[in-house]
Amino acid sequence: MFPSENLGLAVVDGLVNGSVIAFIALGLAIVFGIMNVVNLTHGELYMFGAMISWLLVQAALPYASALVVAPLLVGGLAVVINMLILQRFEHEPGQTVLATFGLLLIMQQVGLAVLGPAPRSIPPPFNPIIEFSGFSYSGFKLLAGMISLAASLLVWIGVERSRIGPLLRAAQENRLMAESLGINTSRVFMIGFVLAGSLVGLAGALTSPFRQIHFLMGFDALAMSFVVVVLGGVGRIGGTIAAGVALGLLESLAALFLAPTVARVLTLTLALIYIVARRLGSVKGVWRY
Amino acid sequence: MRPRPTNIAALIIPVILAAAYPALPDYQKALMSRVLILSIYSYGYAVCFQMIGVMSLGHAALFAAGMYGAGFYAFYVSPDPFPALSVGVASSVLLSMLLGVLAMRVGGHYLMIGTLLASQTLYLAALHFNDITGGEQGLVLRGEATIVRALKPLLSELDARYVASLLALTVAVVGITLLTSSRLGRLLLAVRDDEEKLESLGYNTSLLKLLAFSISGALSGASGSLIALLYGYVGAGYAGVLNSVEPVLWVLVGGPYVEFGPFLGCLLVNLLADAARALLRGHVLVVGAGLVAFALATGRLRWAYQLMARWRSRAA
Amino acid sequence: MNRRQALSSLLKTGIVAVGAAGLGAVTGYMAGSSFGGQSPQGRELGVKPIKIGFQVHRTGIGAPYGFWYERVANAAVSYINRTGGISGRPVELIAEDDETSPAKGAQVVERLVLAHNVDFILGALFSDVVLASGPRAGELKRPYFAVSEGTHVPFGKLNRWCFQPGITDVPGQVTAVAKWIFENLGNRVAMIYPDYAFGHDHRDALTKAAERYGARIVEKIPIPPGETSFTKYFTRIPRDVDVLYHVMVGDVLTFIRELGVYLGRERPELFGFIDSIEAVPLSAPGLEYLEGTYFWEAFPRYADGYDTPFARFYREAVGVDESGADKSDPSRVSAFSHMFGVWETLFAIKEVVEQSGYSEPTRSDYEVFIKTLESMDWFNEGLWHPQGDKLFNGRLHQSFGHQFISLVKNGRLVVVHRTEIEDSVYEHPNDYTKQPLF
Repeated sequence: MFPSENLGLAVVDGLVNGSVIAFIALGLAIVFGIMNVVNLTHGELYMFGAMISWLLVQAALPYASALVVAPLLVGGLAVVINMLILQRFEHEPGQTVLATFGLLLIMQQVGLAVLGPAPRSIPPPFNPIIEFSGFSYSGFKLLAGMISLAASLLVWIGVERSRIGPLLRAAQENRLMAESLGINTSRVFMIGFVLAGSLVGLAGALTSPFRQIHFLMGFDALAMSFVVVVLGGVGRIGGTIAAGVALGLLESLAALFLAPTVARVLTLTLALIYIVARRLGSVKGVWRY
Repeated sequence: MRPRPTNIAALIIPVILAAAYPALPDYQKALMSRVLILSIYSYGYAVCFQMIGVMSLGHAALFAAGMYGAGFYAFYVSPDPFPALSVGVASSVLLSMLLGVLAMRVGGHYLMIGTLLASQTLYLAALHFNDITGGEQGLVLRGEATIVRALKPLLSELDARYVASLLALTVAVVGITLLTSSRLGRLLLAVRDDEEKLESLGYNTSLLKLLAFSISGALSGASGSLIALLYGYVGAGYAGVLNSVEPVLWVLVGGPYVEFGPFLGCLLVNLLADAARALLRGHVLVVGAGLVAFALATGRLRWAYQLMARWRSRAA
Repeated sequence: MNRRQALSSLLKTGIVAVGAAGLGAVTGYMAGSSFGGQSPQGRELGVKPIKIGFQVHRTGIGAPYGFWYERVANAAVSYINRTGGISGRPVELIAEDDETSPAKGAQVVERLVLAHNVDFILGALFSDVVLASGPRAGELKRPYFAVSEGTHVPFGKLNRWCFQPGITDVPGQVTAVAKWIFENLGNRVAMIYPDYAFGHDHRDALTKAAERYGARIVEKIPIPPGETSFTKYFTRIPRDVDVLYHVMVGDVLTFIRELGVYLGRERPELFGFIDSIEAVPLSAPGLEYLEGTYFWEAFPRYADGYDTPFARFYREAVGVDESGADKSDPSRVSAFSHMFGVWETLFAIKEVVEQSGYSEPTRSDYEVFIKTLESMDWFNEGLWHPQGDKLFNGRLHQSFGHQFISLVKNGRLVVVHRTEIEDSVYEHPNDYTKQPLF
C-alpha cells in the first residue's frame, strides 16, 4: 500500500519533530510541571527566541550568535516577567492566568510591530541533503532534532540529579516550610524561570532556520507544550520528553494511512483517552461509575 | 433554607439592564445584547469553575455544540428558531455528559488539558467536515431562522435582540440563584470544599460533578445557540481555543460571587476591549495591559487560588 | 556598593530602559492610528462627506493582507478626494480592526452603521469574517462590499446587500487557469491544499474543471491548520504525476522548503496560487526552489508583467516599487494580487453613486443605488480599474476578470499567459435580484 522508504521517512521525520516538540515544551515542564506556574507566555517566549534570531541575521551577524543571544535575552525576559509581575502575587494561579494572558497579547503585538504582519525566515547556516535509502532529508533539521533530543535529556538528568530539581519542588510545594529551612524561595523561582526561559529561547533560535517566523507562531507552540507536559505526567521532565517524541512519531505514522486531519483528530483522541485511563488506572475504569 | 441576600440581589442585574435600555445609544444597545448573551456563557463557566472548582479549557466545545446544534437544525431541518434553540441546548448537554464522564474522573491539570484536547478534536472535525459544517467559513442561516425575525412584527430588530437576550439572561440568573440556594447547590459547593468528606458521607461526588458539568454545558450551549439564532451565523471560529480562554478571564475578573461575578467580568472585559478597539490602533495592547494591571492590582483573586489549590491537592 | 547591590541597580536601570523603549515604541505605534482617513482636501470641499466604513484585518491571521488593504484604501480615498470626491462630496474613510474574527467583524459592522451611520461598508478578506458580517449588513440595510475572492457572494450564501465587484472569486480564478495547466503542464494532477473551506473551494473548482477538460486529479492532500512540519504529507504525492498544484495558508515558508528537500530536482511541474507566498519576497530563504515553477497571479507583482499607464499610476499611488515591494521598505512585499480589489471596489462605489444619484442613506436612495449596481455589466479598464476590465454579473453580485500565469525566472515572476474573461465565467443559479430589498 505504500513503499517502505515512506515508512523510513515517516519514522525519521516523526522522531525529529517529536524531539523538537519535546524541546520546546521543556521549559514549560519546569515552570508549569514542577513549579506549578500556569505560564501562558511560554509560546510567546518561543516566538521571541525566533524573532531575536531573525533580528541578528538581519543585522548581518552569523546565525550561531543567535544560539547564544536568544537564550540570554529570553531567559532574562522570563526573569523580568517573574520579578516584576508574577512574584508580586506569589504565582497565585488566578492572577497568573490573567497576567500571563495579558502579557501574551502584549508580546504578540510586539512581535507584530517588530516582524511586521508577514512571515519571515532565515537561511540555515548549512544544509546538506542527507540521503537515506530511498529518501532524502534536510541535514540541518536532522541535526536540530538531534540537538533538541540531546539537550532535553541533558536537562532532564541535570535537573533530577542536581539540587535544582528537589529545590524547585520544595519551593513550590510549601513555600513557608522551604523558607524556614533557609531556602530563598524567590531565588529558586528565579532559577526556574531563567532555566525555562533560556531553554525555550534556545528552542526558538534552533528551529528558526526551518520554521517560518511569524508573530502568531507562539500560540500553537503553547497549546502543544501544555499537551505534552500533561501527557508525560505533570512534574516529570522525562515524561515530557517521551510524550513529545511519541506524539511526533504517532502523527507522522498516522499520516501515512489516514487523511491528515483525521490523523490529527485520532492522535488527540488517543491522547485524551490515555490521560484519563492513566489517571484511573485502566481504560475500563472510565466506564465504572 | 432561605436564599442568601446576595442571591436575591442578583436579580437586580436584569432590572437595571431593562431600566437602562431606553437611555442607551443605538450602538451600545447592539453591543449590550451581545454581552448579555455571552454572559450566559460566563455563568455556565462559573458553575463549573466556581461551584465545583473545576477548571476546564474546553468550554468552547460546549458553546460550539449548542451553536452547531441550533444552527444545523435551522439550516437543514426547519427554519423555526424555537425548536432549534432546544436542539442546541440538548446537544451541548449531551456533549457535556459525554465529555464529563471522561473528564470529571480526573482532576486538576489533567482535566484542564483533557478538555482542551477534546475541544481541539471537535474544532478540527468541524473544519474537516466542511461540507456539513461550512468549516472555518461557516454557515449563514436564512433570515426566518433567526429569533429576531420571529419577533419582528412586535419589535424593531435592535429591540428584539435586546429583549431576547435580556430574557435569556434573566432566566440564567434566576436559575443560578435557585441553584445556589438549593440543596443541590450546597452539595456542589461541598464537593469543591471537601470532596473526600462528602464521599465518606456516602455521596457519589463523581455524579454530582457530572451533573454540575452538564448544567454548565446547558448554559454554555444556550449561549452558543442564541448567538447562532440571533445573528444568523455559525462558524468554527467559535470552537477555537481562544473561545475557551475568554470565559476563564471573565470569571477571574468578575470575582468570587457566582451570582454577580460572571456577568460583571464579562461586561468589564468586553466593554474595555470594545472601547479600546474603537479608539486606538494598538487596542490589543491596551487589553493586555489591562489584564496585567488587574492581576497586579487585586489581591481578591486569592479565592481562585484557594480553589485551585484544592483541586491541585486532589490531583496530586 | 557591594556586588549584589550593583547587580540589582544595573538590573533596575535595564528594566527602566527597556520599559521606556517599549513605551516609546507603543506610543509611536498607536499614534500611527489614523482615525478615519479624511484628507484635508476632503474638508476643503466643504460639503457633507460620503462616509465609507472599513473593516480591516489589522491584527490576527489576516494582518499581512490588512496592512496592504488599508494602505490601498487610504491611497484610493486620497486620490478620489484630490480629484473632486464622489458626486462632488469628499469621502471619509472610517476604519476599524476586526481582528480577523467573525464575531468582532459583525460587531464592527454594527458600530459602523449604528454609531457612525456610514453610507457604505468596505468589507473584509477572510471568508469567515465576510460570512458573519454579511447578514448584519443585510439586516441593517447597508451595502457591504467584500474583497475576499470567497464564494460566499456569488453562490448566494449572503443577501442582496452584499457585493464583490473588485475581485474574481476562487472558482473563477481556478476555472480560468485550469485549462492552461492541463494543456501546457499535463493532465495528471496532485493537489495540496489547506483542510478547510478555502482549500476545499480550490479542490472543488479544480475537480470540476478537470472533468470538463478530461484531466485527472489523482491525489488530493489536505493539510490540517496550524501545521508546522509537512514532510510526512509529501509521502502521499504519487511519483508519476505531471503537475503538483499547491495552495497553502499558514507556515508556507516551511512548506516550500520541505517540499524542496523532499522532491529535489526530479519533480513534477509545480503550479501554485500566489496566496501561498503573497506578501513574502521571492528572495526569502528556501524559496529559490520555486525557480522554474508557475503561479497564478491576479495582478502581476513585477511591474513589467502588465505594464499599462493605469497599472503604473496605481502602483505609484499605493507606494509600491517595480518589484512589488513597499517603496519605503523593500523587505515588505505587498499583497499585490489581492489589494487592487480594494482600489477597484472604491471606484465601483464612486461610479455607481454618481450614476444613480445616491445622496443619503435612505430607503429610496439605496433602492436606486443597488438597482443601478445590479444593472452594471462591465467595468472598463482605466485608472479606476487598473487590473483590467471586468464583467459584472448583477444576479451573482460578482465580477469576473482576467487572470495571469507567471513563471519564476531568475528570482522574479515573469508573466507567461493572461487569460480571457470568458475563461473565468461559470454558471450558477443564484439570483439576488429576486430577493426583496426591504
